[in-house]
Amino acid sequence: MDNRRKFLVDLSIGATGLLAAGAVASAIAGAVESKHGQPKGVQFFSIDKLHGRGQLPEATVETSDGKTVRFYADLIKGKVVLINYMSIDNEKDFPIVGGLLEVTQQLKSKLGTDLHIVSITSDPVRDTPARLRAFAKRMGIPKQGWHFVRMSGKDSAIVSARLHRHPMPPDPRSRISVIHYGNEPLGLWGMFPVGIAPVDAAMRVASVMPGKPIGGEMRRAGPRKRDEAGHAFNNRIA
Amino acid sequence: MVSRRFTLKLGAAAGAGLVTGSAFGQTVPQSGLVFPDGYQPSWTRAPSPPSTPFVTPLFVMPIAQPVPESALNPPPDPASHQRYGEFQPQKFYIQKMQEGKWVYHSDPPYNKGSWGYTIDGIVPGPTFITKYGEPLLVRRLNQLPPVGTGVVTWALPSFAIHTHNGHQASESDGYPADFADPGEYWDHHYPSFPAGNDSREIMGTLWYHDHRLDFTATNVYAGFSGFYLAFDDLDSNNENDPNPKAFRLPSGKYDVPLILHDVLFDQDGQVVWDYVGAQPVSSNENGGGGFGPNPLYTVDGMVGDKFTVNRIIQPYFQVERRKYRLRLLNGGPSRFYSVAFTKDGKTPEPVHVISTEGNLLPKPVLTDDYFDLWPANRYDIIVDFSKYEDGDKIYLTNRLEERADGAGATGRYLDPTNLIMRFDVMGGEVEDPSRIPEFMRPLPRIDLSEVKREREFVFDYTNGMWTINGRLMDPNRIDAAIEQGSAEIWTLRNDGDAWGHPIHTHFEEFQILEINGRPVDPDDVTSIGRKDVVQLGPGDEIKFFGRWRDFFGKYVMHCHNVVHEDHAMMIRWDIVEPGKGF
Repeated sequence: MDNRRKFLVDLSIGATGLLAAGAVASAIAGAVESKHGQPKGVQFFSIDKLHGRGQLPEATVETSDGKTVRFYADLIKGKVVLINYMSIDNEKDFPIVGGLLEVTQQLKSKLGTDLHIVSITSDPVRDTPARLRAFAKRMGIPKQGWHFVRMSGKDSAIVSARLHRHPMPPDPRSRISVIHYGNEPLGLWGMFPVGIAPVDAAMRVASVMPGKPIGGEMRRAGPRKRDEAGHAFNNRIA
Repeated sequence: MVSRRFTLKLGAAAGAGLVTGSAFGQTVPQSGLVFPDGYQPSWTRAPSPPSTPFVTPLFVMPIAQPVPESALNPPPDPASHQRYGEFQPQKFYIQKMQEGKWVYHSDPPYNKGSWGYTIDGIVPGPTFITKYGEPLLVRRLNQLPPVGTGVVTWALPSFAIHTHNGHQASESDGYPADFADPGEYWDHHYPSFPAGNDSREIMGTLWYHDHRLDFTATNVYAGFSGFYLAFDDLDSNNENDPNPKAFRLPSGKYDVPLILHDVLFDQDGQVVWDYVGAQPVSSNENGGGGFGPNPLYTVDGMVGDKFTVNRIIQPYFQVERRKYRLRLLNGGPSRFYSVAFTKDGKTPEPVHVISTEGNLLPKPVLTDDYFDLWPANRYDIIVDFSKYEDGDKIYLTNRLEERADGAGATGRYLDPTNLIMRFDVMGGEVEDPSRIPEFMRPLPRIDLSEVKREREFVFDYTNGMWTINGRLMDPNRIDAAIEQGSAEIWTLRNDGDAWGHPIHTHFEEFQILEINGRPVDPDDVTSIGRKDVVQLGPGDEIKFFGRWRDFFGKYVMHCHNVVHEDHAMMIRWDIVEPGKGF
């Protein structure tokens, strides 16, 4: 079975999982359990298959270009990266990608070199590569450094488990979500809720960027003067 | 004293058949568990290197020393602080927040030192000794190496230091978004007056710790915590005080702050940040559902396998045969304890609890039982060592069992227990001028006619996210606007069925009205007095009365399992002008 065909077969399992997540978890769990001979319980990934200080799993993903690439090795390794879930149909009511686009506009960092974004669809059946490609174009997503991807049932479960979700594709109808941000080489990871002010999110992302040596006088970070303009979400000097 | 809520729940849960038995013959419910039943952690694969208990002396933090105002260059900006002119600082301090090594134990490999975050070169940081009526200002310098240039990679070199639960203005509270990055500093102004200028609101045992947005857990774990003690004319830090009204509690070297942190180390003795967590497993895979091991970072909690007190692994402390004031604090990040002082490692010795959450009670409570110590809980305890003989050993003992596989509590009681530190009773009889007062601070009156609003906050878990009222923390969103000078009643409810949440709200103390519809048991030291943390066990509902006074601005309420806090189990509330609340 070639990779493309295998992906589509797996995807059908994933689609079933959206309706009956427990069944998907069982299927994945059984396979892993059998392979590693766990006497009890289930391990979704083995230690020796985790990568980097952030201990991320590898997975096969399909990009909006229709290419099959590696989730960790090709999209995350060695990068400052944002990882989020989204779905095209949900974007109107819960604009995750639109919000992220605003975040990138607040950042001085350059997409594709300083910063990378991996947007994983939680609706892999409807969000085909072609549809994701059209969506990205419609949204005005920069061509460099921002990848829209979908995963098969098994790979989706592995990645979502790592990202603190239940071992199933996240519910595309969700109205709360989080975005992971991290400096992969360092293993420094945080996450912020979807919907926070773009400038707030941008400050958080900037905080994990490689720092520069400090010299000269120390700067007063705050508090700012009480009558001085600044962000509503902090008391820092702007 | 046995009629505490935890014990009551124990009986109820056992009767309902919710739990299994233990070797100790006792059962407790799932309340307060960091990890749900069935969970297996990763660190059993790589536990910390062994260390000999009770061979390393307790570290007693030095007292923070003021500096001349002129040492602050540029000087503090009065226009940056609310009511600065009314509460002009009389003392000034500078704290250097740095990366450095700390020796947790004298055995190898720990004796080589472990990298972490230090305050003025030590962990925990120096202890502030402050007095009501003497405002102070602390300038905190971020001298941490910028991201990617230091040794500690898993914490963020940025801080927002919160004095828990200081009555200070928003801009000095350590609001999570008020951070200082490397090369920056922040001025924290502490006005040192009781809430509402009501002497019944005077506090005693406070602590300071990092509150950095998204990275509080890592940064506190890395080392950013310390004590902040407040005194007044009654609790005067002088056991020989001639003032007839003074409490004359044990003072000076007989007043000892103790902060508990559980830490995990690698085989080189370096601190490991590994907040592993559970992964749900399908019910048809392990015969009933549950949780499988996850070697990865999660949002659940971080549990270490080495008990430290003042950042020393299982220390010993030589004590004279007299009374001591021991200030117990669970500094987290996530572990729950049930503690007592024992001679045989099991049976609680009678001690006097004089304060909860750092606030002196109306009168001391004599207890001969264990008491629950959740993250951020504080108790001041008077232990009278005069009743022991030279050579006797007394242990600070935890009986809440960790899982056989290591992480989180099982809900069962241990036998044998964990011996966290040892007090070595030394010498002959000594003079002891200190006293255990019959009465201390009366509680502020609860006047329901002052109540302007009642609010409800529901704590839950949704697909890997810790929510309050179904939402995640947004520092730009005001979840409650409280009118200055008003009182409110808040109901906190835990809709989860397996997780305990120590919920902390900033700035003002409150008094619990009801727990699960029942009034507070006056002997329950976990619930009486003025509080700033509640133990919200699975399914619990706690109602409290509080007042909001004196300052304006933004503050937070959050879960003090700081891993939950970092994963957005937090709200912003503001104090606003009268008439502008919502």
